[in-house]
Amino acid sequence: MSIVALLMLALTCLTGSNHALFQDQAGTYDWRQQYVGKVIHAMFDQSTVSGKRILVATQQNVVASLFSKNGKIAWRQIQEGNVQDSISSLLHSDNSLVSLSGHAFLRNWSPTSGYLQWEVPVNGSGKSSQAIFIEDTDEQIAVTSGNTLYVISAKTGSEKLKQSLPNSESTEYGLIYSKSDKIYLVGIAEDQHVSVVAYDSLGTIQYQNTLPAIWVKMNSQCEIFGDNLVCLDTISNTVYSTPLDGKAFKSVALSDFGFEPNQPKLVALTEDNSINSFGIIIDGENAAVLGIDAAGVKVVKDLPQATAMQVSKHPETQANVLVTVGRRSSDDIFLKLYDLATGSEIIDMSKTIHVASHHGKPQKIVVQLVKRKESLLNFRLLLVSDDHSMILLQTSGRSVWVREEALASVLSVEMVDLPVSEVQAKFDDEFGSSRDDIVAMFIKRFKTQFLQLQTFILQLIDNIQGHKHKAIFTEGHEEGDDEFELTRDNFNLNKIIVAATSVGKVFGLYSSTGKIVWRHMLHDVTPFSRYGSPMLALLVQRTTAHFPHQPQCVVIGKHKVTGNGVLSVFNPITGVPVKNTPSEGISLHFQIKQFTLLPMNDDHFIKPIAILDTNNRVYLYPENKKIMKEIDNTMYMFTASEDTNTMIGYQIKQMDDELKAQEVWAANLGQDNQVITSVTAKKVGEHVHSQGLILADRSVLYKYLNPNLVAVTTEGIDGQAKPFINMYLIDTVSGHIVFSCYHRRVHGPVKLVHSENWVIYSFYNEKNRRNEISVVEMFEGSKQSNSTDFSSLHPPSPPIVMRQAFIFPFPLSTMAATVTEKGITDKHIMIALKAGGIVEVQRQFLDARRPVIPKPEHREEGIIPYIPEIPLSFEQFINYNQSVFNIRGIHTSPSGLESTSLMIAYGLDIFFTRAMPSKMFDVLKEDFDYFFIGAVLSAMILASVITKKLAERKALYRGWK
Amino acid sequence: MLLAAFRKMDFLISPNFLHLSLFLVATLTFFCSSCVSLENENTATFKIEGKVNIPFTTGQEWLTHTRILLDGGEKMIGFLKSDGTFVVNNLAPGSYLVQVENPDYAFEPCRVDITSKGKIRARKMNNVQTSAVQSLPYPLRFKARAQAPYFQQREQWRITDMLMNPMVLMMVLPVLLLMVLPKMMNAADPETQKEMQNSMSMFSGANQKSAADSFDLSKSLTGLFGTTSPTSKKRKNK
Repeated sequence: MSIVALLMLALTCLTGSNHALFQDQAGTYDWRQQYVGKVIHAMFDQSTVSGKRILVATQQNVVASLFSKNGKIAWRQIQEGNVQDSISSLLHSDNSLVSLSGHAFLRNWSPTSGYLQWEVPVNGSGKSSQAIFIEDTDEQIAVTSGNTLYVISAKTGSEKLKQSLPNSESTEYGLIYSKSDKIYLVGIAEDQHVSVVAYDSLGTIQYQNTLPAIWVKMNSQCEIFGDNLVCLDTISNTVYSTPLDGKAFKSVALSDFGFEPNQPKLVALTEDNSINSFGIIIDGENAAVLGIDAAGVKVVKDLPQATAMQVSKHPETQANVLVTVGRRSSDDIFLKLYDLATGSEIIDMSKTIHVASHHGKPQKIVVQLVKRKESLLNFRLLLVSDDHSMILLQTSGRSVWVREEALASVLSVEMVDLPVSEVQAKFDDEFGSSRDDIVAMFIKRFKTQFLQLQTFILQLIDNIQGHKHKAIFTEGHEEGDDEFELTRDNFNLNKIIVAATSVGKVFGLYSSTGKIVWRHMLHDVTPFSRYGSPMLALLVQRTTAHFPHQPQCVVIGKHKVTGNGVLSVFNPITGVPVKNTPSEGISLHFQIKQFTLLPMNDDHFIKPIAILDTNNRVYLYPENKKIMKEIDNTMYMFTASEDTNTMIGYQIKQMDDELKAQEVWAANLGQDNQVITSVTAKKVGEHVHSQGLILADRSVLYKYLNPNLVAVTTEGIDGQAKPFINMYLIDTVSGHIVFSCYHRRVHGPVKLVHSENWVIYSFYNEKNRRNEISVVEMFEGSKQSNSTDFSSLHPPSPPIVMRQAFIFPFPLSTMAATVTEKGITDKHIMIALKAGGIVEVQRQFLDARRPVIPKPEHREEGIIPYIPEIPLSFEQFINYNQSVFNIRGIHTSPSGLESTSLMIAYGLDIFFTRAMPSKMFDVLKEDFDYFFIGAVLSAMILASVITKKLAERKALYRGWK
Repeated sequence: MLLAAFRKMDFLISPNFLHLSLFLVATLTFFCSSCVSLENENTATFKIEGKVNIPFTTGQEWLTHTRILLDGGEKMIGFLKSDGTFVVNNLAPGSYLVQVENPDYAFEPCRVDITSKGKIRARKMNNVQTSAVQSLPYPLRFKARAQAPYFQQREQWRITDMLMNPMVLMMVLPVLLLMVLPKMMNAADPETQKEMQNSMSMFSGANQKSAADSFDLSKSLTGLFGTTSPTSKKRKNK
């Protein structure tokens, strides 16, 4: 008896813990990937052993140092701001790495350790700026930013000179150049002129001139090459050039050289622009190197097919060597080296290198030429391609490593189940067909069972021998052969994560390791813009559940050039485009206004997508007459226009074989200059397990579960110049505003989670200077009007709305709710903090029913009394010390276990983990002590046997007495 | 279930780690130098200065893993120099939440107010009473208190833990008494046995049978101690 009691006690002790991680669990099922973003400046580190590291500055405002051996991050510093404030200059010499960010900070980093050496704030954020080393010294840095010239000591960061530039109202000085103790600055006055000013080291003007140029635009490409100023006018495709102290521009049309320009681009050949030649990408496919002399611009070298080039010094002769790369075929790029002075090709260095087609065309290269003993040239080449990837190539033509930096700009994510194993599939197949006769079925049955036995034994052997067949990925190898089979595990915990990125590259990641399984580049696809941020849609049309049909996903974007819709349909497990669709995606002939995934399947279990074009015509993909009929008059769509800030609801009607959207309601949310900032619907296919809450008096409070409800937030500025936020809950079928609420003196960005019968959203309270989270919950009341179906056309009486606001202690970047298979498990809210943590907050704390004065019945229901601040403890940080930054979104997905929800947070970094909101109630804990339980059980059996024997003996003795 | 919910709640509501150690921070020594403000000619901008100190680490790795975030770091971030000091430049007058971001260590966030004249005041972050001032010295000084306790301690099963559990004691002791004492009595000398039997018969004569058992036990216990082991009793009293 006592032992059983003891056992029970021990068990209750074990289960009574909360949901934090154990230290030995760290990294077992979570992983993090760190990225730097799209590289705009890169150079080989010169401070330690030359070329050991690569210093990069990226569009995401990150300065980082990468090991050139393996591409791993040595250090990384994430600067403030977002994509618009990218780094305009990166300078490196010996012991300093100076970055000038668009947010107007000149910072000097230690190239070896990455800490800050000094920081100088400079004027003018967002305006064009540039920094250079002053010629021959490398000790002083000249900066033009916000129409001010600075001269700063590279060693200490002290300001040597600060000078406002002339005519700064009309002219923007974005170019700086230093030559023989003069600092030249070039400014652009739009449609008027280009001015050149030269200062000496004391800050006195030595030279000033304005060159008339009516063609010049603020975004004209102007650069200084050698002592010459070159501007490229992309409207007339003309190159204008002049010496810096010249009197007028000389113009030459690109077509005069025999080129056929299309969006030409100027390319600097060296980091310091010190040579009199420059590159030009003529039409995105071909390039040329042009030289400037007294007579004007002439062609130095025509470079067909080249898309990236750089000039590097020959390590021996110090001659300028021009290195060019371009794509030769879908699988290869070529590398050609030229002597810049003579234009002759260095033939023994030319190469064809295998670089997979999904990387696209080379965009930028950084070359380091090294001399080997046999007087052969060796090189290291960092290749940045269209897809933001970084590849380090060596002389042998082998790629040392690849960094897929596109994953720093993931826009949407879906998790797709892996297919079941072959044996399992056969098993399903057996029951699937009933055409076979009884003998055939018996044989089939026998075969499958034999196979099952075989795999079972194999697995057993495997288990005994230890896991040999763990994911085998050949790293470094570009096209690693996927040796491990992608099959579903027992609990469906491992999935394929499909991620669509802003460059149009789509990735398939294996969720247990984060390794890339496949990647596919959509060269023509660019994201839509929605409420000020890019959006690329990713929808699952057919899940893995319909064997033998393959699962199917679709990416919806728009065409780079035409702006029309593009659909890319592919198998999410392999990344291969579905048969009969082009690999670049299906180009639609119209612009997409809205789209939605229909809830019904077609004959092949595909959920069609309804796409609304700008002429209010609705298309189905794939087309299906039956479904067309089915949705006629019964389907509704809505749009929320960014431009007019109006929401419009449509009813879909069939008219002579085509579907038309007919406007049924419109709501203008743009009054008082409000702007729609987000529209959030509930997750498609979300399961709500319980229809209501059981109250203390044993009555049921039914949830208001309207599947057509969307939460819309608008932001604006009121009459007293104070910001405000409105949150509307709108039924998108009837256009009925179910609930709205107004928050004064708060501003966004509003992050909103909409699930079941509640909405949780965060904002910044300007008055009290703190982040707040508001919770709105809706209930139908103690009676449910229609328990089987919800109808927006016959809505129940207005819901009982409960709301509550809480203080959230730290700035947050985004929120999401966990989701599980059946919706039985509690929901937790995942909150990504700006400081790098991801916190799991229980819904009990974000409950609108938390009472200010708790009563016994609240206690009985388990409602926590109201406290303004949401408490956070370190154990709630599910990513422990694996900080992730600039998080844009969190995607949650159910697994095969009801207790477990999978979560991926994506931003600059990616973090994946499992969340167990109600703990692992359906699985034995991993530290479950089998040995202990077994020992206790066997001891008990033993004890019962012995005592039985003893008792028998005793009874016997007693009988003899 | 209910009990569990409230227990959990208790744990979480109890002032979180940051608040708990407020007094710890107060006991730390601060150094204060004169408040510096930098004024540009055109627009007045100011800067916040301070120093971060992690006493437990050596090496410079932590310098790149630590940033100073102002209001979440959207627009303003301070980076550490090799000695752990930082300056956040280009600040307009206003109030800023200053956080130290480091993956491994926990720091107390604070609020810094800058007036339009450039006077700088640092105070503790108080989200509930936002106007409450509990001033902190300026320039700011952040000191890591401990490694952030992200992980839960694994409960280890120890025999002593279980035995010392009051429930276990409550259940085991009577069982022991029930099982061991009769044996001991058997072992005792015939005199006491006789004495016991006497008392037992007396008792059973006076009282009901069911209540007799327990009473009998305690009585026999006293009898046992009283007669057979006076030495051990003395030892216990010491």
